Amino acid sequence: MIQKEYITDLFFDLDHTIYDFDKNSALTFQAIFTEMQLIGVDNFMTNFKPINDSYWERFSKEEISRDFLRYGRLKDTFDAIDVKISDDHIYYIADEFIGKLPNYNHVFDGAYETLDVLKNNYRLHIITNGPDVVQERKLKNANLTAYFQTITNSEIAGVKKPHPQIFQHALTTAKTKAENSLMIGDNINADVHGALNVGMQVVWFNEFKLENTIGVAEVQQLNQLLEIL
Amino acid sequence: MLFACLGLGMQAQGLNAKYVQMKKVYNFQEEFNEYRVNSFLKHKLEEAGYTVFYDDQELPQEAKADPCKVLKCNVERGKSMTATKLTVTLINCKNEQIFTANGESRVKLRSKSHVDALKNALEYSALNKK
Repeated sequence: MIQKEYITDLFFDLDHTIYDFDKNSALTFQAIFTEMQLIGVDNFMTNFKPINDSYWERFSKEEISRDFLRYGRLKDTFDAIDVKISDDHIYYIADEFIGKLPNYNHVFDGAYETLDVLKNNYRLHIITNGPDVVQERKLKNANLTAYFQTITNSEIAGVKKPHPQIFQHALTTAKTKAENSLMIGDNINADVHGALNVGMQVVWFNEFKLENTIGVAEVQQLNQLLEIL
Repeated sequence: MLFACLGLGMQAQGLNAKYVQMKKVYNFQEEFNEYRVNSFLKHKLEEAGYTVFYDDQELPQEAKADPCKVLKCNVERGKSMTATKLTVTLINCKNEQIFTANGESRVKLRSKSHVDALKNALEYSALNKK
């Protein structure tokens, strides 16, 4: 259980925790496909999600380039749903995706309301594995910047979650200690184990109600944080 | 390329602008100097006689005192299924576009097509300037 009396600082993950990446990317693809009058793409998103995750995994281990990630995740998804599409079209979609994604800035239900209450009682921060400029764009476009006192990304820290160094970097920047800090994130490895490992308390954002094998505190919706904090 | 430098250079003289401020990351990029756009363009602007700063760098005192000594450089990528299309613009302190150049490249590799498109844009820039 959470011992909230010691907590002064809350650290949030961004993608899939506050910023609804899946919804925003689905809307972006939908807009691009409609404009291109592409048909047979109904199952695109279902297939894209796991493929995208695996490409990000390889990218984060520096096995592939960013360009290859952008191309490969689309190529593999179109192959999986049996849509024949030229490389020119794939490159076009990849370019359009970067340009259009910032137009969609959905956050999870209750995000603003929850942050509005929490900011009165805690200092709020972000620890994210995304690249500097992309995450800044998301925070700015979704009107989230003002909530957070510090933002630590993997570019600044030089390593990605769950590496202890990025958490240490975030704690130092926030001028706080692990024992006074709590991490909220969706990724069991990067966020939950990463933060526990440096001695922070943790709340798992378990949107999909996955089995909680380690007995860590969890919420399925952001406003449930107000019940435990 | 001579035309391009001449075009950029003349604008500098005419408007008394000495400095150009470039973005570190343009809208179509996800990291600094992706596709080598920023370093290539910076080099070209310096060749044309400008002193170039990125938007996260502090401008010199002279530029802070007189904002009209600074031009802002923007780069946009257009839509195309078969080519990389880039537009370079220079904007003055009155928010007027005083220079614009379009270029495209049919090179497939993104890592090469952007610099190629910039080269093509600047080659004919003297014809396109506003």
